[in-house]
Amino acid sequence: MTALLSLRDVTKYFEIKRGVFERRVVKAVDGVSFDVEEGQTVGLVGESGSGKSTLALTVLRLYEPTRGQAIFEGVNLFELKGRELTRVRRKMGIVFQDPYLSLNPVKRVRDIVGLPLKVHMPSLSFEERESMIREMLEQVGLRAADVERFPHEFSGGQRQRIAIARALIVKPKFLILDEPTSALDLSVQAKILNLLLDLQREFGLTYLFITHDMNVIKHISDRINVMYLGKLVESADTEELFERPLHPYTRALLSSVPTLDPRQRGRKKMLLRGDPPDPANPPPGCRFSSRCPLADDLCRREEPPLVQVEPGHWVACHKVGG
Amino acid sequence: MTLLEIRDLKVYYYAFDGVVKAVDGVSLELESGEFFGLIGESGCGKSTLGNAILRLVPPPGRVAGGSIYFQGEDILQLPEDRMREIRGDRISMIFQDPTAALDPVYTIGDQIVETILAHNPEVSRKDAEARAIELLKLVGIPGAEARVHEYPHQFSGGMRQRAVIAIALANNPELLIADEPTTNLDVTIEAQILTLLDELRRKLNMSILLITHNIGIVAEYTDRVGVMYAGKLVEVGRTVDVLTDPKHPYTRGLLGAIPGRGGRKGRVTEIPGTVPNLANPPPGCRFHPRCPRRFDPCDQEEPALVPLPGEGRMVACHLYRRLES
Repeated sequence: MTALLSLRDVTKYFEIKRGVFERRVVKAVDGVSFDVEEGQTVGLVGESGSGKSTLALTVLRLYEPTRGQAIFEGVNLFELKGRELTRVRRKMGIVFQDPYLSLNPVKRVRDIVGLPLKVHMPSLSFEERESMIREMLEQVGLRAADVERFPHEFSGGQRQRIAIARALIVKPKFLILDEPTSALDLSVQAKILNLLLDLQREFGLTYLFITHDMNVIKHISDRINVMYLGKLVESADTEELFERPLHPYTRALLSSVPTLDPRQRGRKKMLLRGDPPDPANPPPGCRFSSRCPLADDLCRREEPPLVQVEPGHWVACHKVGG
Repeated sequence: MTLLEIRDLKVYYYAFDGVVKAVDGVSLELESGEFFGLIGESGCGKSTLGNAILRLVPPPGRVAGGSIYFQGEDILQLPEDRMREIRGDRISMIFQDPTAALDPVYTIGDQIVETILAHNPEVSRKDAEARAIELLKLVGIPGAEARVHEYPHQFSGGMRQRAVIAIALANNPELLIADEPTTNLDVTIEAQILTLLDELRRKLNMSILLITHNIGIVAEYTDRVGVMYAGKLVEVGRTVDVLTDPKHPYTRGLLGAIPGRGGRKGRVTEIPGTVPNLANPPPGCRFHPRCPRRFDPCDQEEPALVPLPGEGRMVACHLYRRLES
């Protein structure tokens, strides 16, 4: 298999200015590298502030990267400019978490879903565009006649379908899904997950699926990357990660997920002490060291590198492997 | 011992374009010291039910019928000043957003002290302050002596929810209503907070009514569970019974819709259709238009909540009516 997207040392820092003298740098994404294989779903998990959404927006160049490379079909996205960038962007789409914020309330569905066509295929006639929009709406489980309606006339799940239609209208190869079901009820989430799986099969799509929900990620991903405070701490195939989590943070994360079987609740849980540190002021050494039950002096001094401990299983921890 | 008994409670919102029957004839008992989970999707009426227990349903909502007996006394009949004595003292409540629950211009300590003094005017301020520190320690806030003087913005999200819990527990309530208390928090913090609530429940012998959409936390922490759909309680029983052997088709659908249980990338079981409009709910059983097992009486007759074999198991579904006779 070949990588459709290869991230190498992707880094995004934000500078925060307070007053005249104080400047702080938030290392939101710090040297993240992983591959996304064509046709696969790669999961990206982590808690708030872990940098997972910033990483997605940086890859799409919606944020300017501080450093690194994002190689998409052999081209480094971070070196593209102007028209070249627009041309490559047509192959990439994004769906956001909140379908109440991501759809313009004063536009009809026709204009919302049709906008990418106007940008990327400006030579289409109105009729051609209209028929593509109608076809796309039916493909995501809406009605062709919905082109006339406004976002407020739809439920949350239907709005997310509109957002998916907008992302897919220009037939991209790669879709970033940033918490696409987190705002939805369980029964609605089931429908959207099934739709995403159907569309992936039908169009041969590659997904980068961002979520904090471990049940969802387990269901949909082939491979999972775990982030903590801007760092990639573990990366493995889905079964491997759930059966043999190695990084103490991944283990705590999996252990914190409530069991769905009440008969299992007696099991020993690995509860973390304390809160995640301020991303603008992470601890020295390993960023997880302030909450890690295994941390020692080395951990508090030196940042652990990401190393391969098994074929395809990468971990950044002084206490694992090495 | 029964702590709270809700009988045929109806809470309606009198909106412009019709009456929305958010809670429509719910009966429920809460035992002293138990951890009860009330589960359902958005708009099923679970939060309205929680608010109604404290008589805090916002207008245009109103209790339209039924009674709520708290230790034998119908609190819906109490004058407001008596109700105020109960609220925040014997029954307290925490919400999803701890930031909105705290006043940004007072210290955490002041907010706890205020809660204590409001219900116990005989207590000295000094004693109340000592109790505030004790409470912050109880909810696991490190350095309580110093942090009692800090403001909400100096606390992280998880620590704010702990502070809110400290305020809610200030007067040793017999019942704590927790409405989605961890929905805004990360999963590692969620586990800390719920473990803490469970420990405090045992230590202080209070009951918790946990209102949530998250089946996982119900499975992990509660003794009993009630499932709500479209303003009705459709199933109730011991958590282990309901979640391992659900009876109502809606409960079955909900459990089937959890991803990650079957094969990876398989289809997640969907519940067909969408939630009904509660201003104009379907006749008969409110779930019947979406139910895979509907039959003759379902679109005409509303099923009553009837007991099933098993400890305290009840279900409102015509499929089980035969068992009754």
